[in-house]
Amino acid sequence: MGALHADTILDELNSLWASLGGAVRACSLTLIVFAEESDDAAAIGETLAELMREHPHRAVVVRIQPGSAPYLEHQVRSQCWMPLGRQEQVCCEQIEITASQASLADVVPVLAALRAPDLPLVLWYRSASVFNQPALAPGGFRPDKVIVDSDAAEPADMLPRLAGSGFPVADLAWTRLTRWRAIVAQLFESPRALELLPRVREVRVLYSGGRLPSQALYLAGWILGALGREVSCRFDEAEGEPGGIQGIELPAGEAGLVSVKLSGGAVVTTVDGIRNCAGLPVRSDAELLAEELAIAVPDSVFREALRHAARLAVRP
Amino acid sequence: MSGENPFRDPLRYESGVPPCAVIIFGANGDLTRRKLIPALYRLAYNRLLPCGFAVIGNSRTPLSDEAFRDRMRQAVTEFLDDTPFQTDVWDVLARALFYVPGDIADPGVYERICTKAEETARRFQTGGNIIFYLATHPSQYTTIAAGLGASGLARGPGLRRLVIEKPFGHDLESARALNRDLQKYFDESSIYRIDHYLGKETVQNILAFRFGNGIFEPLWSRHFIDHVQITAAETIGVEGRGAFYQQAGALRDMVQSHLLQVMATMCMEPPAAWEPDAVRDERAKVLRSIRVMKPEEVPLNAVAGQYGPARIGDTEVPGFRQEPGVDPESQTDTYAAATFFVDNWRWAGVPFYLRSGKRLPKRVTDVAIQFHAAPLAVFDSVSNGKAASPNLLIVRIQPEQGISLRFLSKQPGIGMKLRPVSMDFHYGQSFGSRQSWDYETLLVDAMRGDPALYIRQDAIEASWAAVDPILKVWADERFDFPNYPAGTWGPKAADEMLARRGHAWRNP
Repeated sequence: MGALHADTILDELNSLWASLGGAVRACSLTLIVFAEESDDAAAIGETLAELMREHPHRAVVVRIQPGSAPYLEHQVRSQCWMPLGRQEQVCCEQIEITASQASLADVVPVLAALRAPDLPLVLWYRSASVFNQPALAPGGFRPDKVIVDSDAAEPADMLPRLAGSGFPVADLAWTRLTRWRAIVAQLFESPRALELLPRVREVRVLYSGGRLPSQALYLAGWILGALGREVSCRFDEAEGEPGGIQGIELPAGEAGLVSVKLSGGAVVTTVDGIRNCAGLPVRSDAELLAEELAIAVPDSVFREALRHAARLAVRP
Repeated sequence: MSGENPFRDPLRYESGVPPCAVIIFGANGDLTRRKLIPALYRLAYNRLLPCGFAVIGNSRTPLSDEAFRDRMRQAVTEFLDDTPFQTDVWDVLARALFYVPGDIADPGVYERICTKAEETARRFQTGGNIIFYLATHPSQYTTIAAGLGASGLARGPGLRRLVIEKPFGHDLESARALNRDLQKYFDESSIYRIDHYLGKETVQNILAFRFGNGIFEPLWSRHFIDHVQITAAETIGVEGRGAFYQQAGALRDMVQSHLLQVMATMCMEPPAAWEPDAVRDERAKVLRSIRVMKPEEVPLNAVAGQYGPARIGDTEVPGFRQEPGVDPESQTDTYAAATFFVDNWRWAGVPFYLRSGKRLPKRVTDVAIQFHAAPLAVFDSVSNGKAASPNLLIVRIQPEQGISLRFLSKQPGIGMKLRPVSMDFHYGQSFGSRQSWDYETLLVDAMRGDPALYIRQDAIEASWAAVDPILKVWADERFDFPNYPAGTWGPKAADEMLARRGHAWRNP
């Protein structure tokens, strides 16, 4: 266990860069990752390495150990890659801090000093439990974006809290829906489908895995927000991978049905008897993060969907 | 509920593609197989095709719908690159592929296409909207447009768009004639002329760089810029297309089209808004401001070249005249360099050097903006004259995309010795390396009716007006070709053209 000083870490970073010789230093943001010690360190490393190609960053990974004894440890390292056909490596810096619960209060002021100057600060809470740590409350960091993942959390707790937060928030559970939403949006480019919309009286979301996932609530919330009027929402369980969306149905009475359903890894859409099909590739955490990091302005569509989803999450 | 799709989310995904049918002429050709159908599959896979969508292919080869689908499936699997081939996605797309065989000179073929288009409109709810994609030889554009006009296909009820590829004529007069012929049947706003260079990320990034940042635009004028060099170099020869290339040449094939468009993007005034016509207006204004050379100015401001045989590495490379299908006495320019001036307040007196050639040492396309040297070389006495190295801003278009700024820096150590260093922005490093999406982008833009990446008639004619005097002088000249060996940076005369103004080509 050692003391944690920002100056020491920054000196170590300078030495690291000196040892890297002619490598190109790339940085467009600071990404602070809060993780539990039990989280797969290799998986986090792979995600950050993949992410750096699109969003080069200074990563500060804070791993939290259980226990009341003070404990602080840190190390610095680089993440490099060689772009195809080029001579020099492109490198990003990574600082890993391991802290016990008892030492978390000592970590926070150091994190403020490790922020790369004049660049955006993004906080990524890998689990609900770290997000719930009072010492790591986002407000203290004045972040440009806070990223959480409500898929593993209890929606009734998490979604209202996110909806009521005063900071710019993003939820990877929502980001996982982009492809679904894009498919639905493309359907309604058709005037015939658009004509059905005023007659939709119900939003039906099919999900799998036993527990109603926040993705299902977001999807319904998004549709409610787009419709701009109250319609009933129904969540039905269907067979499939746990925690996933299996389909959406928008019945419009006698006028017809808009249906978007997962079928063997592809999404099949049906409107008024016309069937289409699109791919639904599984997206890595790095791809989801990259999508969120690419959005630097307030995301009003997400805010509106979150507002409705939070309401649906706590309804009796 | 208003008529607007409430599910759009432009922050996250593209949408706004209306239902439509794409009618491809030349459907059995290389462009369709290699580019168009794989691009349509990728759009389907990425859910960017509209819900109501169909393709009708036409060419002379007799094929059934099924045989056409089989061929297109082969093409997709062969040219798909990195997108996974998913049978479900293909099967749904394939069901919307149809084929109508027939000669474009036969009026009956348009009747049959019309019948098929009506049928697909009902069956696939394409809304009667049609994109005509002419993937044929340019000499057939007029015939097809006339056929579409005579059959009534060129007019609604739905939207109609005509997509064509370069060359748009072979000189100013033929470009005007082509435009007149097309506009008999299609409004100018419905004609989409493709220039792939405008679809390249870096070319679009020139606009972002100039108009999204506050620090560069004040420097973007004759007050700070000494000259500009635009280079498009290829290492390959004519690759079996010698007979075709003989009709074109580097000036027509590259300078008149791509390089002048890139130059216009570099030089244009800020558009009033990020809207297709505002951008295209500004580009066209620049092209119209290019000083037209007098015949006697051409030899001093334009250089033609043709590569001769050479040994490159351990390979004997034939000269252009030794390529299959090429006239042994050919006068075709495989290299062209020209000096242009833009006669407006911003650019008066700044030379723009454009060059393009085949069989050059390196495949590279870039734009180099050389700034004036510092007004006082205070470090000259201690830096061996290196303080005179001017700042250089390089916009790299291919193979790598990015921007570099060269400036002087103190060498580490005792004394005040300066040396040039480069600050690099690599597009791939900051935004990830992605496959080129040129055709997908262009197809979606045509469907959505966004012509920003397409060239307007006035810009085509203005660029022909800039090169026409050169073509006319060269047509009367008998060049002593070949005048550069394959694998070199072109003829000496091109170096002399710059040397007359105290400049030199950079080595990209």
